[in-house]
Amino acid sequence: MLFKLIFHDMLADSRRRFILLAISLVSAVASIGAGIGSVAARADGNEQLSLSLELIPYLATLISGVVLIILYISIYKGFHRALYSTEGQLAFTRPVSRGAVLLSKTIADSIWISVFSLLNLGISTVMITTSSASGTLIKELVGESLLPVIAENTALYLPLLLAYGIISSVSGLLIAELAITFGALIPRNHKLICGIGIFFGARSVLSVLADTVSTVLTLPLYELRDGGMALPESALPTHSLTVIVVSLIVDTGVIVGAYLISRLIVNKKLSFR
Amino acid sequence: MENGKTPALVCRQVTKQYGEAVALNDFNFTVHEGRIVGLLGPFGCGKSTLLKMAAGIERLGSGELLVLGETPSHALMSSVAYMPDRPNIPDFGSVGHLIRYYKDFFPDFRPSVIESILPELGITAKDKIRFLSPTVLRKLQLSLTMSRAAKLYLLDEPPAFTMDGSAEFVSRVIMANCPESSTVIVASSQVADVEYMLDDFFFITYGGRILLSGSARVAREGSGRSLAELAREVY
Repeated sequence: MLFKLIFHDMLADSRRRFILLAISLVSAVASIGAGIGSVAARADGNEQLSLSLELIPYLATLISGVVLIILYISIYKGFHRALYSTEGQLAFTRPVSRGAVLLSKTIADSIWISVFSLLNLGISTVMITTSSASGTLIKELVGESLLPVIAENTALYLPLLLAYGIISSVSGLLIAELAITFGALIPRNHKLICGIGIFFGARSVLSVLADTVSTVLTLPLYELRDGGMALPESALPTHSLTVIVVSLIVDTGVIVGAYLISRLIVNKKLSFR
Repeated sequence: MENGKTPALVCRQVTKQYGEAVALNDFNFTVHEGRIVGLLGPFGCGKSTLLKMAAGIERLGSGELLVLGETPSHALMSSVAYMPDRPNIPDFGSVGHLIRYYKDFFPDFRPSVIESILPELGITAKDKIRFLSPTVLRKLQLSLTMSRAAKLYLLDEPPAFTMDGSAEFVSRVIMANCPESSTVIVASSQVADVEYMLDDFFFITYGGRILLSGSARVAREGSGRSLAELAREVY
């Protein structure tokens, strides 16, 4: 039954989503093609062509970013419409538990978000790695001292960073859907402000929580130096891994927690006036 | 129970309030199996609230409400078909996808029924839902609901449109497709549109107070007037 629920939930907004997916895929292909072309042109000494082609991955990154924003808006609107508008009166009068209805919608939305996040990540990676300024860009994004550590342990860091990218997108999605679920209980004129408040409030609290836990766990790695605390280079891998793993655990906890609270609200409180 | 049969719907001292507004107050009501019953009254008198509570999408305030002998639950919806008073059809793309949706979730869905009604609506399974007019959408919604072989149908304002013979369409679709032992509860503010399909009727007013009830045929024959005329007198 869950498979059928997910299938129909994915189908419900598939027309708009496939258009967005097509735009993202075209951007990705253009980005990869231009990236390869740019590197080849640079190797041939044709700097002008290389620089021109370099602009395409930048443009693709911008487009996929905009697509991701549109996707989020479309998902939030679709979530509200499917569950809490009159359409919800059909969704919740099927012989299926309310928890299953919510779970399938959440899974369907998470699949969409994961696919687009991966595409976005891929396009950004092409932009960064093929750019003539890639060295500077990577150093700025990752940190100069951490770069060799990641390069040496790609097999460990790559899946972790990919998992982090997806889990963090999904946790953001579930917080927003929890905010929308809360909003469904609130009178119309306070809905929006309540939803926004809950979303940003929860994000801030969780960010502080993840930072605090990471700091506490990594504190023993620091050394006292010149009257201050400093992280020795040898501790960098442990530090970065701890930060990523803590973020992963917090975000996974957020996903489970947000779903359970939403389910509680949908089961106990939700009514269609 | 009547003749050992479980009533389709029983309300005992049902009360429902929204803040200060009372939708239903100490409402008592029994609908027996196999009847087509009209729950008739003005907008805001608690008809929709009652049907929503029976369909399990509105919480009961106080009292007792039994649907087919059980308290409302999602499991019960495999035997109960509910149509709200507003369009609730998701935009799945085509009408065919929508039919598949009903087929997948409602074990009692009869595809042959909807397939026989589609030509009358002037649409095919390939038509896009977003291009359908509100009137056709509403008719499609009713047709899909009546394509189920449910034990109880809860229809909220089905003839909410009175143009182009829609009321006649509604009566025909309900009467032709409702299994003999099934019960239909039609909530409507348009008495004239529904009265000739009804076995029984309840005139209710604000707060869910029942003003008059009984057999539609007996009421018409006894008074020599239609239910619509009786309603004008009672309200």
